[in-house]
Amino acid sequence: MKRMVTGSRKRRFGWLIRLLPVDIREAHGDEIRQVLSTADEHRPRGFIPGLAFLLGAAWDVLKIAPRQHADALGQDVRYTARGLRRSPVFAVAALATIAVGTGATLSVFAVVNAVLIRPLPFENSSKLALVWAINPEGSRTWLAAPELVDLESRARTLHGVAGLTDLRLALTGNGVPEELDVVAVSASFFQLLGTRPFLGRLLGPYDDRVTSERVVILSHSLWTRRFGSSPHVVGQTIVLDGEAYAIVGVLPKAFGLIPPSSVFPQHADAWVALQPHLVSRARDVRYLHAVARVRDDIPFATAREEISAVGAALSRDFGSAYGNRAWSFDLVPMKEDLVRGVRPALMVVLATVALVLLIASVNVAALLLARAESRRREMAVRAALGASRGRLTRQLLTEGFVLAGIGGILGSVLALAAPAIARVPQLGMLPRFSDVAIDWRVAGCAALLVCITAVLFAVAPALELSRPPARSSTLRSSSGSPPAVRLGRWLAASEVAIASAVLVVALLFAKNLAVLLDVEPGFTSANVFTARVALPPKYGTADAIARFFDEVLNRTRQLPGVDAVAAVTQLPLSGAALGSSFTVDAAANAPRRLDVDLRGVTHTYFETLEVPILRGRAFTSRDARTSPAVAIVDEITARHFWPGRDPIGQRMRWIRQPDVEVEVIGVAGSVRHQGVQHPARATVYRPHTQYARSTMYVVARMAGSHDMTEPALAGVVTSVDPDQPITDAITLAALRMRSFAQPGLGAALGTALALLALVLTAVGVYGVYAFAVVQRRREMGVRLAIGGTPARIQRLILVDGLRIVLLGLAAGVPGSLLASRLTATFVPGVQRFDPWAFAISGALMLGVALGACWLPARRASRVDPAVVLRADP
Amino acid sequence: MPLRKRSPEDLLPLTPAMLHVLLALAEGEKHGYAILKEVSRRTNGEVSLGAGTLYALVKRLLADGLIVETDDRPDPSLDDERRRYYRLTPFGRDVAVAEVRRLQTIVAHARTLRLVPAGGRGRA
Repeated sequence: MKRMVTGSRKRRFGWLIRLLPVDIREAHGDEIRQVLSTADEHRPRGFIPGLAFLLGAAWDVLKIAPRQHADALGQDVRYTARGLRRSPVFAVAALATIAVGTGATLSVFAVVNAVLIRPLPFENSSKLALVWAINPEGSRTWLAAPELVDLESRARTLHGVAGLTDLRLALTGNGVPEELDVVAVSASFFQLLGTRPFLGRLLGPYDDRVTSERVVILSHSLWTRRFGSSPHVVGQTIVLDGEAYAIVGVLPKAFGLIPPSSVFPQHADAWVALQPHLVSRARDVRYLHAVARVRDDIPFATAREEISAVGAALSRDFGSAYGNRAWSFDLVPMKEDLVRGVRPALMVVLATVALVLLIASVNVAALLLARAESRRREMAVRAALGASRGRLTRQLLTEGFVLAGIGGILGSVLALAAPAIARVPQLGMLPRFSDVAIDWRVAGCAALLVCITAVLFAVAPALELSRPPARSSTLRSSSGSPPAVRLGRWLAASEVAIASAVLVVALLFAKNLAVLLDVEPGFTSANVFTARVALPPKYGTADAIARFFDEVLNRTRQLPGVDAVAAVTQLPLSGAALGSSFTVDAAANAPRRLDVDLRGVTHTYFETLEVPILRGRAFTSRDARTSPAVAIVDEITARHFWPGRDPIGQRMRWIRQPDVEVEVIGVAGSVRHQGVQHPARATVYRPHTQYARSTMYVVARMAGSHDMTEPALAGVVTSVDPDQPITDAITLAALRMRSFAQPGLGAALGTALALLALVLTAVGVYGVYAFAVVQRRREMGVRLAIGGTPARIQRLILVDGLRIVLLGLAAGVPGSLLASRLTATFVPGVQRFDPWAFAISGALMLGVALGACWLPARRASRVDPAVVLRADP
Repeated sequence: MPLRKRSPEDLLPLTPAMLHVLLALAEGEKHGYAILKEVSRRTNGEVSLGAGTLYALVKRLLADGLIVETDDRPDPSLDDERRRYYRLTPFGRDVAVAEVRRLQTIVAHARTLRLVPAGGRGRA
């Protein structure tokens, strides 16, 4: 009985003693337990004294434990530091590898953090959402003005809905006239976002009426640039497009940092109320974005369901306006919507960089393993001096942590360069990329990486050292390679396996980009110069506008080197489009209506951009305002309305002018207006004389060796109207490059990581074989002494290397298959299985890894048998 | 490590607990529990060391060479064989003496300041 009680007490004390570090535990653990048991036996009996004793003992141990741990750790760290100083080559190799691995991982994480994780700069931003209309085909589009009102009144799960649309308004009066990027928003917009004014006030409900006095809110940048940061600006009046607007407030600087996206324009100078700027109140004219805030107590999914139901109810209630077809709404979290173009590639890149870090860790583990082998004697001495296995394992773990810690700090320094990604011209314009910064999340990730890698590093050498001491080296060489060498080979094979998967992913990205680069956008972008010309309200009539642009084009054509010149309402590849609809009088079962991208062009447009006219004719100068209404449709529109029939001579109606019949006179080739990675959408072209827009882009195609310059074109425009500026001058080729930003992201980061993986693997394979050669130099010496030739020795090592690389490649196949499948799932356009990617990855790996084996192999063949055989084994 | 003759003064001052342990071992070798009892007895229960504290001190004193583990044991029949005994080394004795001298100097200084009466106990 007493024995049992003592036993349970012992266990209790045993738990207490486990709190102490291993060295004092091993030296004095039994004694402490014994003293505690003795004291326990001599204490007064009873529950309270028993409890008091136990608490006292626990307190006593807890009091000394931290100091004991700190001492032990300090000792291990000092010992590690001494060891690293003694083998500087090892230290530099290991630290550089860890620094590169963690640096790359942290950099990618910094981007992921800024783009995908960090909340948007709005109050309670996780509740913010965008509302999109979903057409019967399932693709999303903008909202119509009445839908905004309906959403506001019907949706119970939302705090509110605000509409917005962007405008360009001419600022005249004080100073040089300039065109401002203006966003027109519902009164509730700023309130939904939780934005507070920097100066004055923001919009109130009374501002957002057609009859209200016009008010404007300045962006911080416009206030600084144009109004000299004057605190007295509130209350002043400015003139926008000939109308007086009272300045009521200035936005905070941070509001200018909203990521540009499909909703928020790249740049906004000023904000005005929406109602006075509604272009149309028709239910089928869609041009509004909508921002909503889900009520705090409502889960997002519930709100989404309700919004979808509201959309469905509207298309039933107003059947004819929706063409009696099923429309609905979709609610998307604002952040998700902003980053949806880059999320997939970033997730794949993050997974890839984790693989690269794994390769780096395996590399360091292999280095540590080699070092452990050479430190076998040292460890044996320490063990003989009384260091226990637990103590030695702890030492190895400390070494792992010291290496990972220093390497992690160096890697963090490398990752400080991550924000520079925003300065890469093509990538900087991706959403939120300008926000990449090192914050507490990145620091936390760094700490986590240090812990993970430290444990990874310590595992291999700890396993190796825990083996019983090796037999003599001559015996080993006769029975094959020493176990450390075998373990090293496994590590090398696993590196090859992982790296081949990284290579496959990178190749898939690169191929995706290459395919896109080859995509014919449907027009020529070579040698085409463009600029925007926005006419002020003084050009009141369609004729005046048409006369101005005709004159500008005529004079531009006279410039040296100009092959062709035209004007268009929206540039291809710019993403700009005006969604509109056309209807036809068709048989009951044929489609009667199509949402198209409507573009106004001058008659030379098709020849200037070399858009082919497949049937019928292009516009001519005779297609004037007063002549019969005509249109050219693209192949998609033609197939939709008149499948299997000749579209030429067919009639359709524009939804905004239902009383005018428009005759189709030609069919043009389809153009990828939204960007090369997006398929072409149905498009209808109208002559600018019949579809006049005061803002148009001049496009000039130049002869081979000539360049158009901005001053030259500006000179032409001012020769027609001295007050008329041009803006947004850019070549179509540059615009085309911009549309590669998203697909280029994966390709750029993927390629960088693949190179890193290749280099790390080469270094790793080299390290493993260099170590193997050192370990087996005695065997090599024997072979040479008994008649082996250097060539045979080289071949021996290379064949061994080849076996390992092939093993690694074979082991990498399932991983690579999985990686390419995941990449294809996440990234649109990527192939699920690409034999070429596998072949190239395999060939590269084989070449690089065999190259890495060759150096040690050559060294092995140069061993001097006399020297090694005489040396102490 | 360069072998340098350490002087006892290098280790001063000792913590009170350390000095108590050294004093407890001054009259002969003892095992852990006996050290605790001895310290408690000498200080009339004012100083009561816990087992953890004691062995943290023992580890330190062993490392500094002030005490050693001893093989000489009383009759095994009287004793639990797991018990380990410690005794003071000559160096440890020198350190204890040096610490006591250091304390004496402080007391003497206090006396010249008349903080404590000569030969008597302080009333602090």
